[in-house]
Amino acid sequence: MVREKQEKDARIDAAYNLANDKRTPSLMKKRMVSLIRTDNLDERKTYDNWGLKALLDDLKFNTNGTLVTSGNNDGSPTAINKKKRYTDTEGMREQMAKIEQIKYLLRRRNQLDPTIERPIADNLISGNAVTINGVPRTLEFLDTSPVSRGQPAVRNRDIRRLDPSGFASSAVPLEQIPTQGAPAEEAGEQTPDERTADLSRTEELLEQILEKTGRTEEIDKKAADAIKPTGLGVGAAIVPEIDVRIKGIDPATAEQLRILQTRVAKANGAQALRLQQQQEATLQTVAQQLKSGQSPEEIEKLVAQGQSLLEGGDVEGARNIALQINPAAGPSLDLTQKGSTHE
Amino acid sequence: MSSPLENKLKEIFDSNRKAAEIIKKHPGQSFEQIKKTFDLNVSAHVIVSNHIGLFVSNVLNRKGDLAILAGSAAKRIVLSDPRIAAAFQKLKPEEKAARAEKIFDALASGLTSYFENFKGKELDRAAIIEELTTKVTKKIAEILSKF
Repeated sequence: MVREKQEKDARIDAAYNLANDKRTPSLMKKRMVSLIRTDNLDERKTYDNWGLKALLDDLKFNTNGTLVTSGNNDGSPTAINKKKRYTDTEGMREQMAKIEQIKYLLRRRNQLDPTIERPIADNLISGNAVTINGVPRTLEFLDTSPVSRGQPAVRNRDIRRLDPSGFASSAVPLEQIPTQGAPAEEAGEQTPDERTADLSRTEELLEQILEKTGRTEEIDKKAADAIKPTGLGVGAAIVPEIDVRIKGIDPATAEQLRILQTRVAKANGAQALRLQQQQEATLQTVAQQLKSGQSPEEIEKLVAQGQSLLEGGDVEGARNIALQINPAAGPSLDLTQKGSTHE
Repeated sequence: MSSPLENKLKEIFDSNRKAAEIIKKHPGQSFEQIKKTFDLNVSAHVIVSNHIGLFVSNVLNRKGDLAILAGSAAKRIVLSDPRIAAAFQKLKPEEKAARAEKIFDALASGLTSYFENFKGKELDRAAIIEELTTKVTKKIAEILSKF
């Protein structure tokens, strides 16, 4: 759900860039502005439908109203359950993923026109207790936007120009902006641009983390590690078990990094599989040549002869050469196939 | 128009020529060893395409100085290319550093000059990424084979 929204946001970001680019023709600018306006109206109407409220309702809280960010996710205070800390890994992972989704939705929510109604987000951002299912909740730590830091509200999408942790870098090029009625992207498969946007976001997160620790010189190393497969296999095997080994990283950021890395890893796995499939036929031929015991020099000589015969129109002669190279190819070189399919 | 048989023959000759070239480049190696190299190259291509994709995107979005962006991408590629890791496995640290620096220099200057000489080319991001990825992947293999 969040990914779908991120993709939509990236397209709008690209439209925004184009609308502000002096080189963009005026007709296209108008189209981009219209696209942005439609998106704003659409988002105002439907922000709750992106699941913010549902996510909030689903979060686990400690009995004192604070969010569970470690230990058990059963709603009991972690202080009382010290022995059980970090035992419910799967539950915590889910909880942190939900928190990340909420943070993203809240950030996006802040980028909208400040005059529109936003009761939940406002309360969360201001740190006021929010009543969810009759229980007061405090989620002030969730929001990191300039608005929550007391800076003046910024008009719509301008906020991304000011906030380096925003989403300007996920902008996609013009050709990625779908025109009306264009077919939807193939489900489940990331495009190279989406992968680049994910990598860009990963990089931003790493930069933020490393800046905090003062180890900015490590950014290239961490970025390299972030996409390095743990195994050298290809295809499905390239999807690694992600392990973010950065000391002092907060769990929510780690979770966000993990999500991004997993997506990049999956896209990498799909690309590797495609490349592997493309090379499969060549590899089979290599295996066959090695098995036949003929030297590559002999093969090259035969290939040159065969190609020359074929160019000269001697199909049967070329066929005989092909059979010398690979006798097993006989059935597929049946002479009855000689005529064109159009004959 | 070529007949199906002629097309099939062309296909056989092409794939055998290609396979013979591969075997010549890996003298005395078994199929499993060649397959391992193939797999390693696929992994390297994918990883390099990640870094190149980000590099090209940053350059086209003017996110920094070209030489710095190229240096950063080159460093990341050197650090994550599994072929380099495999080739450096048994080297002493000082040898690793010296060779890594050579690869880094070649990649950084290659990436910089690609965009410095970019004028007149059509701005097709996907094609640029693919072209640069192939160039870089081949360049690394070439350098590694000379060590």
